Amino acid sequence: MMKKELICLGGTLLITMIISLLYGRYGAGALEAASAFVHGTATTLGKIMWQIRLPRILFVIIAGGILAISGQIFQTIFKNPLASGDVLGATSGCALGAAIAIVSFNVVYMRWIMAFVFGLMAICCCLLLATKVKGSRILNLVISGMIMQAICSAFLMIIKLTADPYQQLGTIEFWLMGGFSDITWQKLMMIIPLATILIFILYKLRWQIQLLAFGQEANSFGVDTQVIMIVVIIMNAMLLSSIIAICGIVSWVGLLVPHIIRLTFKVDFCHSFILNLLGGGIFLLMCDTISRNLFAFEVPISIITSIFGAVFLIILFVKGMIDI
Amino acid sequence: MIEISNISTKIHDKMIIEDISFEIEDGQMIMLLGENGCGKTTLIKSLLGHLLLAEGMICADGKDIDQMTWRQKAEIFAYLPQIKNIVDDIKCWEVVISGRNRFMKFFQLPTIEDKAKAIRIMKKFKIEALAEKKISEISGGQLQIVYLCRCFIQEARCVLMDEPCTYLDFYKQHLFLQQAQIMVKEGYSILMSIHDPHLALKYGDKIIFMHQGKIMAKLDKNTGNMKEELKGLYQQIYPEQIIDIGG
Repeated sequence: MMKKELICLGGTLLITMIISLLYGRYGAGALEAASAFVHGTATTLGKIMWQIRLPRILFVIIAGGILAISGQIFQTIFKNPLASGDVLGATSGCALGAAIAIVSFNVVYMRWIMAFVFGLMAICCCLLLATKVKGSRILNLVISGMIMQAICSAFLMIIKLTADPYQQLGTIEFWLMGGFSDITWQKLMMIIPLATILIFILYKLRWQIQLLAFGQEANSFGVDTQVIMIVVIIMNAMLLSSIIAICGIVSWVGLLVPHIIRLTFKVDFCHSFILNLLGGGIFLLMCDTISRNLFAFEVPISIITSIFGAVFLIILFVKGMIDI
Repeated sequence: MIEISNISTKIHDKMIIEDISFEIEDGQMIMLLGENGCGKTTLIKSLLGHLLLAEGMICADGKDIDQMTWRQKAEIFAYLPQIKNIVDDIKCWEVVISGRNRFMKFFQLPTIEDKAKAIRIMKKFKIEALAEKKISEISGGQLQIVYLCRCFIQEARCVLMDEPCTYLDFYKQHLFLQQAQIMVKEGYSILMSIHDPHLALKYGDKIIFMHQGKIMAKLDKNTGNMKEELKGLYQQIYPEQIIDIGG
């Protein structure tokens, strides 16, 4: 049963990849592009496909998969259908950290480290705040997330004010909207080892993560919930920040994809892990392909994902499928 | 034998239960009676380690369970909560098998043998038809039995149940308690909080009667007439005689 779903999603991903590879702003027919691709970097078109489009496509797939799976993990461990990196303030935290790094240091690695530190800090503050207040657990987390977002964006504005308006401000502004236009093989290789290791560990831990959803009950059958929770949150923050440091904020994927997967396949966390990875990849790749081809200029990715996200939420909302 | 000696628990600096002592012997069904807010749930959560003890000690065969890891504690106590966290889209057999966690390695997933074991246990409690169903699709009574199976598969010494009969209808209450007795017959012990004195008298080997955070009386089936003693207790704490425990 699972195999059919995997083949179905895998097939879709492959088709999307081919379409994404063949179409771009360098006007050429699909057949021409295909032959150029086969001939390698001999032609300009071949060069574009091998050195610009292919690493970009692979990066987008990894980013989509990571964003989706991190959203799914947050939703599972907090038992909160509204949880995701965006909602918990992790994304804003990462953004703030990375913006500080853009202004202060000119090294990509620093961007990643700062994004990680600030992202993790934002999640921790959000959790701390949510657990200290009485009331609805689900709402508390969302409201705490909103507070963290507000704080982070306030500081972000201060950073923007102090940034050099001719160089840094533009970089921050454009990077905040998210985009994959400057992905190279080098950047892709930077992220692959970390992403592979962390996703593999999380994949192996999927049954334990699922048990966390039982809440305190899980203690009684021997799960050390606190330790696993902390480990999983740290790994999640590392994954999220590594993506955000390179391609900026890509909103909505973490909330949207897990819900689509849940509604379509109706399987639990344990069985939907790979489906989420693939689904996230497909969704983000489709959005990225649209953003590259829709207009003569490249539309920032978050605009596309936000529009999709809004439409999807409207459908869920009107159909009464959001139950809290 | 599990010995609970002089435990007290505070929540937000307020003493909820005070100076509670009793023993749980293997193969006994102990009923915890008392009005709402007298500290039954707090007692159960203190035993589980979900709440920190302010004073006192819980020992299993002479070993202090405060020093144990969660995995070791799972060997002593299993838990059937009153309010359950329903995990999205999880199947009933997966809920049952989660009780097996203490036997599994950290990165291990339930195997086919585990699944077979879960279904064998579910067959014992006559709910094997539910195995592949989603936990959110079954009724409250069935949910209770699924959780009972989880406690059973955990093979803990004692199962703590927090008002397991509350949402069940008359027939299901009896069915549930009869199935719980299967566990007791196999040598496990059960401590459950319950409100219905009739059920407590019918199925309990011992009754612990709590009042305002303290134990008011301990009744034993073998050493006295539990019905008469219970009647006396109810008369003491309630001003009028509104309860009639059988003629």
